[in-house]
Amino acid sequence: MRRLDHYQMDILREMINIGVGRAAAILNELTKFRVLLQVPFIKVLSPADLKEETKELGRDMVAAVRLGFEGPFSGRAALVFPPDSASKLVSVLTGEEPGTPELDSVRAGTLEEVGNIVLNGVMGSIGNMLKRNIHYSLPTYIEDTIDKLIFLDRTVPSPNTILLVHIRFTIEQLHIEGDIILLFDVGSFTALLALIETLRNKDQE
Amino acid sequence: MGDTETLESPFGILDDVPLGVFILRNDYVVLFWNRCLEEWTRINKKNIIGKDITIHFPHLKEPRYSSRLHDIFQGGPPTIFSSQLHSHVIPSLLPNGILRIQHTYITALQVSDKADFYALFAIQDVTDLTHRIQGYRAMRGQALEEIKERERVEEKLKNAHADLELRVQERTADLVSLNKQLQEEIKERKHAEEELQKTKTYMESILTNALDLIITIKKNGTIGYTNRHIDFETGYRKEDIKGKHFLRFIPEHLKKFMTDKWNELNEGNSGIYESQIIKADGTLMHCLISQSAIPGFDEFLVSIKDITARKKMENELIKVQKLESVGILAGGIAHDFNNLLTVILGNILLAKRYVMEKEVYNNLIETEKASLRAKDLTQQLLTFSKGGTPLKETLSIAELIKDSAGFALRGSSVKYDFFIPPDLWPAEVDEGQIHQVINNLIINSIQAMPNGGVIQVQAANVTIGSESLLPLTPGPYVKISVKDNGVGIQEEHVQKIFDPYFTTKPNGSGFGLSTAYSIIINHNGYITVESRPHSGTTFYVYLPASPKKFSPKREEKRFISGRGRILFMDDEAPVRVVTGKMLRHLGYDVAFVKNGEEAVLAYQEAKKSGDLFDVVIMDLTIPGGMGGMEAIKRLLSIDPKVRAIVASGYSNDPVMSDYRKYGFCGVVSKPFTIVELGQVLHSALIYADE
Repeated sequence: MRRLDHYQMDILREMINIGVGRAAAILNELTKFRVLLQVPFIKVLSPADLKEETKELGRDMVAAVRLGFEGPFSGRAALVFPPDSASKLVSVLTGEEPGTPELDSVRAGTLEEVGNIVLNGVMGSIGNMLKRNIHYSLPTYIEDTIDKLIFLDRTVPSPNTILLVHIRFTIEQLHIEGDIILLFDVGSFTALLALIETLRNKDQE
Repeated sequence: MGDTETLESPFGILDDVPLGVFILRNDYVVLFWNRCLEEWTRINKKNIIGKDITIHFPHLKEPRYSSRLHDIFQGGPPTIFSSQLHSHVIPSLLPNGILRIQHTYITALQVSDKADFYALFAIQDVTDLTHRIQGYRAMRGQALEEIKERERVEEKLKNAHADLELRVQERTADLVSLNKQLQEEIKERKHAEEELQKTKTYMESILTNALDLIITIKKNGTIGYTNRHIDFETGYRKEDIKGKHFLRFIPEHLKKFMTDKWNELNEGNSGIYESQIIKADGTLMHCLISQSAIPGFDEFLVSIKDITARKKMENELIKVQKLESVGILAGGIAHDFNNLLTVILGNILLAKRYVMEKEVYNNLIETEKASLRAKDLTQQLLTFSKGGTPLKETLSIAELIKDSAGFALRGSSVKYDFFIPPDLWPAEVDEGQIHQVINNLIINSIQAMPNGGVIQVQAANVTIGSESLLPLTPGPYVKISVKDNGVGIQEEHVQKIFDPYFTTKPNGSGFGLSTAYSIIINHNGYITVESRPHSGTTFYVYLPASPKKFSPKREEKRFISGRGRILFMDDEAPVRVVTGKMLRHLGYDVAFVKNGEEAVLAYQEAKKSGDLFDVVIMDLTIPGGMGGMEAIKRLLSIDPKVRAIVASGYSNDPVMSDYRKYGFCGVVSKPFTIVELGQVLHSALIYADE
């Protein structure tokens, strides 16, 4: 897989952190609890790498909110949780009694909003920084295995490059871990990097 | 179609969708309000389009909305206000008076000819869905509660079950332990029973294999237990004895004695004593009885040892000892009488030769006869007293039996049968003595049959083994039996018939059988009798068989005279006188000496003078002086060729039967006749010549 230089990585990290920060601010307004979002790591992976990375999760069900993006670069963005973590997250945000593992359509709607806030934060941040208009599809809630979600979905093109952003929600005493997976279509990641290069050039000017 | 129509047309469509749809400009002015919203809010689109929405819905200015809407107005990604987090974006009442629950999508809507973005709100009424889900949740919660309750009950049940299980396990463990204990007890008991059985078998084996008879007698005197041996020893079967009173098996003459012993036992006194029991065949068994109480039982233990054979042996020993002491006495007397009779007979013989008067001569004849009877008597006494150490020769017993029996039966009215096998072994015997024994037995049988009868004389070769009860050294024997069918012998007499002077006959001497006994014992044989009153008597004689060939029958003894010079030694002067006369009568010259010393002196002198004695006759025993045995040694030292004859009244002296070993060449028993003297001298002179 291509290796990004420090600058590229820094820019990516900055864009994501800004987005995540915004998302956290929004989530804080929605709930009475303090919500802290952290990004422990970001990885640029090939589909094979991702497969390897998510090998242990591969056959387990996950709860995900996914939206597509299109513009100078295109692909899909997904916020992925183990179902149990997703349910806990919904419960703590809505102030419900915890312990209901299922995500009915109402609760799935809530998770959709959370995914929407987080993904919007990140994608919005990228779009803002790169000063590009990106079109997004409406976020949808999906429950399936990672494999089907990412690699076996025939309705979308196969991803070329994957940006894996590990994200940690801390609400009260609760820590919930999830991943933002940005799947770039062929050429899209290069386009992204090209845009980042323009930032570098501007900086150097 | 006009511009307005073209512009309004895409939004006009939204009037018909079942969603609340409105479009907001970035200054919060409403650009579109669809019919659905009119219905929900009762706000006519005319009253709201072109106006700031916050007039009606001021909460939309709150940051939780405004910050999100800001992005939309910037052309950001679609935004969702979920029904849980933003239930009432456009609050509106339902006919039932509750607020609609709404799920809202907001997308940025770009007006093509402008750079600005509008926010297109699409509000979904999810009240029903939410209620349904809430209902479902409630139901589910209830169901879960029920499940939990059920789980609690199940848990309780499980606990109760576990408790029960535990108790069952405990009880089972108790039972297992109890069972194990029981098994152990059974095992122990089985072991104990086995031990008991083993002990019982062991005890039974001891009792069964005991050589004694072992019985128990109950308090009432009846017999209880008997060991196996009872059959073999007494001939009774167990069932013949069991339950019978013990006195039934006791002979009459011991009943009082046994009753006394029984009383002693009942008083608690154990004891050992001898008694007798009547056997099944009517004979008596001598026994040693030991009796004792059995502690803890109302019975007495009686052990009975059969001592019949031992008793018989004891009696035999007593008999032997008795006969031996009697024999010593008889032998002593007979010796003295012999000397006296030698003088008497010698003088009678001489007197007969010189007397002229017939009457005196006849008196002398009578005197001689009486003296000869007296001599026979002393001879019998000597024989009986073991004086008759047999002068043995190997002879045909068959011939001897026939001769002796035939002689005794001569002139008798009884019939006789001989059963003598032709291959009967010879035996080393004193012919005269055995002749006497058979003669006595035959005479005894004849006398037992005063009215005639049959005497059966049988002989057989027998081998006596070590297991034999007869007091004989194991080996080959010739068994002679003399059987009559006469009056028999009374039981109380049977033990005494071999005693000297014991006789049941008016004219009996009481020496016949005692002499026979003595002779046979001296031949290392045995004589015994079986008799029942009125059933006859059988005598059995056992004589050791000889491996040697028998010698031909001796020649008839005859009066043999001779020539020669004889030295006669005897301490008794009358013996010297009468013997001297006999010697001279036989044709010999004779010189006399009183003892061994004189004999030695006389022989030396004769040797010096060259006039040697041809034969020396010496008495074996000289009281207070040198006897014949010492003298012969001296004479042999003087003249190794000395011919000497030993004479003695004690024919049981070993020197007499084995005279050659001591240096003599002949032997003669006192009192001797002139014939015997002639014969022995003749033999000595022939022996000398050889």
